[in-house]
Amino acid sequence: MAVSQNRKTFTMENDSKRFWAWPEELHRRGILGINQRNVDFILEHNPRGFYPRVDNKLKTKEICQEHGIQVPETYFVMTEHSQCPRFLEMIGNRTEFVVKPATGAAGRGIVVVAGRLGNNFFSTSGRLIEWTDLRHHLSTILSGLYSLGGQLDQIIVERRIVSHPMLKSIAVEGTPDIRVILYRGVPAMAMIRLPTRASGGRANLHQGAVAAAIELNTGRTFGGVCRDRAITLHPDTQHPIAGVELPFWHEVLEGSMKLSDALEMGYVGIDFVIDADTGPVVLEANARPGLAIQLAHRQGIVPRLKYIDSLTDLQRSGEHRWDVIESIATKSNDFWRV
Amino acid sequence: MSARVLSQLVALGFILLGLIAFSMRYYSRTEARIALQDSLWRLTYDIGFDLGDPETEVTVSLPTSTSAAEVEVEELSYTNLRGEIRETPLSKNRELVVNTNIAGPFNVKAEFDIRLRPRHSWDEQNTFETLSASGRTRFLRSDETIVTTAPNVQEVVQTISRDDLTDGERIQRLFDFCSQELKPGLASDGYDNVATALANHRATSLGRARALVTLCRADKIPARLVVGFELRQAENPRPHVWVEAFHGNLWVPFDPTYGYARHMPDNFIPIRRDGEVIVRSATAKDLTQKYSIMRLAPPEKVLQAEMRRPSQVFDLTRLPVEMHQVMSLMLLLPLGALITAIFRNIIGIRTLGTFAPALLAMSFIYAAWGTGLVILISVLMAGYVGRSLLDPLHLLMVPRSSIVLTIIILFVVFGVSVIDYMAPASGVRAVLLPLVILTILIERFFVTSEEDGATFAVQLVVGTFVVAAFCYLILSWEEIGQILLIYPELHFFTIAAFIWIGRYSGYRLVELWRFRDMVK
Repeated sequence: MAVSQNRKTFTMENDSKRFWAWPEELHRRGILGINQRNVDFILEHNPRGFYPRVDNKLKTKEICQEHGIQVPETYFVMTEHSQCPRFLEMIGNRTEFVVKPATGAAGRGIVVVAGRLGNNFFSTSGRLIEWTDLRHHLSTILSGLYSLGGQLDQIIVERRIVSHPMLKSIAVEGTPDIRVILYRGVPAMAMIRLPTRASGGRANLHQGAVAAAIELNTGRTFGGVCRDRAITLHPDTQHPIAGVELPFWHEVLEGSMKLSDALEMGYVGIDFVIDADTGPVVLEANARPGLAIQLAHRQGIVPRLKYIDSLTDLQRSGEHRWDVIESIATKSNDFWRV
Repeated sequence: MSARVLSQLVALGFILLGLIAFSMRYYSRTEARIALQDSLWRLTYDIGFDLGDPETEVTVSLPTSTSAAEVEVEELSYTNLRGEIRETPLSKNRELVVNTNIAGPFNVKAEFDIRLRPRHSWDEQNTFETLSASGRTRFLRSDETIVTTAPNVQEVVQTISRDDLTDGERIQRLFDFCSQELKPGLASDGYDNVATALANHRATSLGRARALVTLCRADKIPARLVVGFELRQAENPRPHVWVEAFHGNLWVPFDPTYGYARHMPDNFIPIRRDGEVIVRSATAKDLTQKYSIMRLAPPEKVLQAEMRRPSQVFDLTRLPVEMHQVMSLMLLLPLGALITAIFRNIIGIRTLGTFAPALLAMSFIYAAWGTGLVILISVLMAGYVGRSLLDPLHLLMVPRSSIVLTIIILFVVFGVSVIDYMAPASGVRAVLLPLVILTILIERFFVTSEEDGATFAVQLVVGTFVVAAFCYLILSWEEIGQILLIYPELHFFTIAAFIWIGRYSGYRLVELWRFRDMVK
């Protein structure tokens, strides 16, 4: 049934008969391609030596804590296979927690435990995870299956974030997360990623999660994309995904700018979730943020990046950035035309 | 300097380096080849005669350079004689004309070093010429030995030639007649003479040539005799006579004795056109002609080319032939990487692992691809099934992958055995499959389908096979491997191409599709 709904949404939104766009057309709309992202922004602005700051979530967490940015509370870290049998002892009687590899990418290897019966655990969707399965998963993570280079990994066991109730209406299962892309310390674009049934509760766009663009100054959602096609309704709930005003938006932007300054990366995506109790917490930072955010905005990111380039260092620093954010958000569409 | 400018400079530097290295090797190879294939011949004349009358002249024809044969050294000696070199206007022969006022025996000696260049064999042997009206008359006229008006000449022409035939066909028929219909005859029986030859259907070599010229002229086709030498080791060679007919603005050679038509072998060098003797004199007595042809050795440095020296390390062809296959395979791998880079960065097709497609393709190159593909697919399936069965055992990664590796190795080994049993002569060679890479591929496929969904994993597999297929197409092109083995410096261009792809910041082809909704 979900499938038929999906199809309906797609046909409704994509009356376009086009099968491709000419490079010139994309260029005129300021679309950033993956090659240009790598060559002109990542290689140019992200010093290789700082990559561990974003690739290793333990390091990211440390940096966040040093700069007073909220992160999910770490229960403990596992580095040795010999620790695996002692996991139950270490986790105590907690019933909710998240197990994640320190250097995993795109949410790979993350297990969210939302319930527990003795030594049986349950995922957010209610799937049973037996202790032996979990133990195997732990050793798999340590072996480096999910790590970027395949080298030995560490496990972070941390508090499970319970999403802010305001986001429940647009998220089906799992936790929506907010991605802010910052260029030279200035937020350039932001989106919220909403898990769908197709994505299995993960906010992973590759697997069919939905993304909506966010107005930088107001935190209100607009646009929308699913599987690289423009949409306006959530494929599972048929709720409009535009027009939702996100809570704690100012804090999200503030945290993202602080973290971007601390990371010293020129082109970085920072992922937040909004916790029902504590507000925005940083999940991870990404030195190679994806391009689908442009589809969610129905707008290319290149003009915004160029605009940020054109500013003075003073305008790109400290509190002056709020003015820049305001001005990026309120510029008319014509301003962004190349 | 910005990275962009620097990359362009480095890429251009590599192109330049490649061009320099390639042309240096190309020229040195060509030079060595020419030096070995060229042959140097020494032709000597030893001509003696007795001059009684002071007004007597003796004319000696000299060889001229052609497109295939170059006269490099020419030494003429004629003691007590006045000599002059002339060029005849119509046939462009070079001639030494000697005379003197003293009576007595004289001697003319000449020595020519002639270089034969086989590489010019595809050149036009003759250059285009126009034949003036007077020239035309000259080469149609009846001569002392070429009597076009003889009755049996006319008779033969009328039987062979018809008005509806083209000049080319008529020459061919006359040539066929002279080379095939006339049986060998002796000069002592008068078969040098055209009329006698035609009457009895017998001819000497000279008689055939004369007959062909006579018949051509009688049929209104300008023709002439050519005398020259076939360059081959000979103590006392006799000059050979053949024919040239004027056809299509060219003097086209025909040799009714040896049967060459329209093209003489490169080692036939003409000495005199429009004549049948090399030395002629109206009144000289006791004319003796002695010729010799000798092959000269190539220069020493050419023969010593394989002498051991450090620069030989740059010559991979010097390696034992058994190593050539492996070496050229290695040299092909960067091209596989180039194709992978093009597919990933310009087209945007994603694959399982960066170099897996190229390595897969390489393993197919020296195997029959049909059998190889069957083995590969069954190996992948066996590995995948094995991996699925292992999943519930919750093994650590390295031992788990090692089991998969062992399974696929057993599969390959027995697969080869089965194929050999079914078709013993098929010569299975697909065992070169990169088994460790396959193991990693299977593991990655398994994890990807778990983590990112089966659709995405299958997309990756399809991408891997597409890229591998393209790599195979290029890599299996044997000539490319050979060329790279000879000119490994061509990889400087490959590096330049990598630099350009590495700085390519345009859209990938799949992005034109991915972002199509943005241009509504």
